[in-house]
Amino acid sequence: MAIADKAKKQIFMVCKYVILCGMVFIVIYPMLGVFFASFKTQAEYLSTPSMKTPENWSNFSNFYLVFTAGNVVRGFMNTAIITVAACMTSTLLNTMVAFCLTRFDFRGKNLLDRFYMVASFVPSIIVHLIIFKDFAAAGLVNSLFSIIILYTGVDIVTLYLYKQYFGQISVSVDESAIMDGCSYFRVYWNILLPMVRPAVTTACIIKITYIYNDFYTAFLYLPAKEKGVMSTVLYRFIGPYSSQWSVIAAGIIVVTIPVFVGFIFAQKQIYKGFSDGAVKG
Amino acid sequence: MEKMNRLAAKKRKEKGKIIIAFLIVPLLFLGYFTVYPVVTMLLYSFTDWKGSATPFQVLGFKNYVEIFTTDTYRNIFKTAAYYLLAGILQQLISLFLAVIMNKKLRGSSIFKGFIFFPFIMNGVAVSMVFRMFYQIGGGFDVLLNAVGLEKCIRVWMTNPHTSNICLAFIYLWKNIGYSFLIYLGTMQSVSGEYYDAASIDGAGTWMQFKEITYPAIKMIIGMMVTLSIVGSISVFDIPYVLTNGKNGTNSFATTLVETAFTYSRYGLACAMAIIMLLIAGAVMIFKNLVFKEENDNGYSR
Repeated sequence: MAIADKAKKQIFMVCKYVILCGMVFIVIYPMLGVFFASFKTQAEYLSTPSMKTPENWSNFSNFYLVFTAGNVVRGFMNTAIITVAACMTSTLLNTMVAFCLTRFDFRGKNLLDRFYMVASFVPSIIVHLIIFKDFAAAGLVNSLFSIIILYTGVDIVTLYLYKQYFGQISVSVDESAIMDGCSYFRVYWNILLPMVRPAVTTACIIKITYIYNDFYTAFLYLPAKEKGVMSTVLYRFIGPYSSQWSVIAAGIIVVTIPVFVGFIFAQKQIYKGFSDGAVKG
Repeated sequence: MEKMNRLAAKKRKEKGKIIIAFLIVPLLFLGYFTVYPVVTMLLYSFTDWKGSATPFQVLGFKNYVEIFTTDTYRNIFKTAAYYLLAGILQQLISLFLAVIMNKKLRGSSIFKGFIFFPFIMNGVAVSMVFRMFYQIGGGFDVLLNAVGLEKCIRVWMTNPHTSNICLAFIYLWKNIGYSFLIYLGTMQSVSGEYYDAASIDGAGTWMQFKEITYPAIKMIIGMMVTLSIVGSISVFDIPYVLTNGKNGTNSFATTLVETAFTYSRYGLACAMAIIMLLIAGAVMIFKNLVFKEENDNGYSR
């Protein structure tokens, strides 16, 4: 009996590994072809099967093209500027709202709460129909500033996350600080904000991933070549290099590497960020 | 005592000031980024507004009728169904994977990393990867050849029967890591003692899932399904980059963009947006109603 049990367990274990290895294969396989292609010359790409390894692993000419003609450095800089700025504004505004909503009672507070809830139903993709018209009319298209404002916009997941964290801090913390002569602003800035630092990390991780991956907003609001961000820079490869898949493959690799490196170094924080964002948000 | 009163009065004044100072910008944003566009879209959805200053006519419900009676526009519901199906599959597969990995397993962090990574990959990069994958002679064809299914090979992206399935697979491929992570995280927050106790009582794997795991993740499943439904109508980059919405792959979002920004039929696009909003709203409200009693501690979404 015990032996049969053990055998059964082992079979289960093997099945588990087979399934998981299958998953890993499904994830890696499509990317492997891209990785190989990025080292192939155009002629080689066309003449060899797509899953065959490249003849010359030190052929970096595709990557060279990506960096020189593809505007990737500019795209990376723009993305970095937008991301850092939007993280700061979003942290500031959302913690301010969360502070007010958890600390004070005021007229219209419930109404405001309800408004935020209704606003969370609005898919962000549709509001740009109207907003884009306004921005275009005001000459705000192709400005990094305006896209920072758009990314700050109304971010209800982040707001709920902060509300949750602020709500967990006892009001007696505020009260004793006020007794010591702190202003409300000092309470917010010097006492509560440092206490919700884990939430700031979480919110920023979600924001960074969102901005790095977003195509739609950047595509609409930053159409100029020199205002490209990572996703639009890559997308614009399709035009001039439409038949040069080996160059496009190198572009894909270059855009993915920063994410990969970030993931390797901040794996735990990223997991925690997304779990917290989903469960607490 | 008097000092206390003075302090209280001072604080009340300060409180009013800080509320105004802190809320003015967020309130403006809330108004401008949600209330104003939604109201404007609702009004314009009944007109033939072309997005310019030229006068427009009031059409009543004609835009809405057109969406539900024209094949191109009706197709967006069909496309959404493919992504929705992919979303449901995503929940099932990721739940299954999370159950597998919930118990101690050697190398689980590596597997977790691989399964999760596509989720944080750039959407355009993912779409391009699969553009190459589905090409004639691309990775997919190589794979089919290797397993002896060369008869099945066709031009995946231009064939309306296969294009949506291929695109929905990408959506599944990219998003599975997210639901997997959330399910696994929630399951691991359940104390192992429950499982040990259940094992001693002779409960099998299925019983353990049904009695311990499922109650713990019920809410999360509801949330994920909600996200899937809303996601299935918002998907943009995948069809836009791979097929540009051609061959019957136009989604809600790609059609919306095309109708408004290419054909300047803003009135019609607004009607589409309102339908999208109604679907999203209905799903969210339904979810909130279903999970109401468990959600009593405040922060319901």
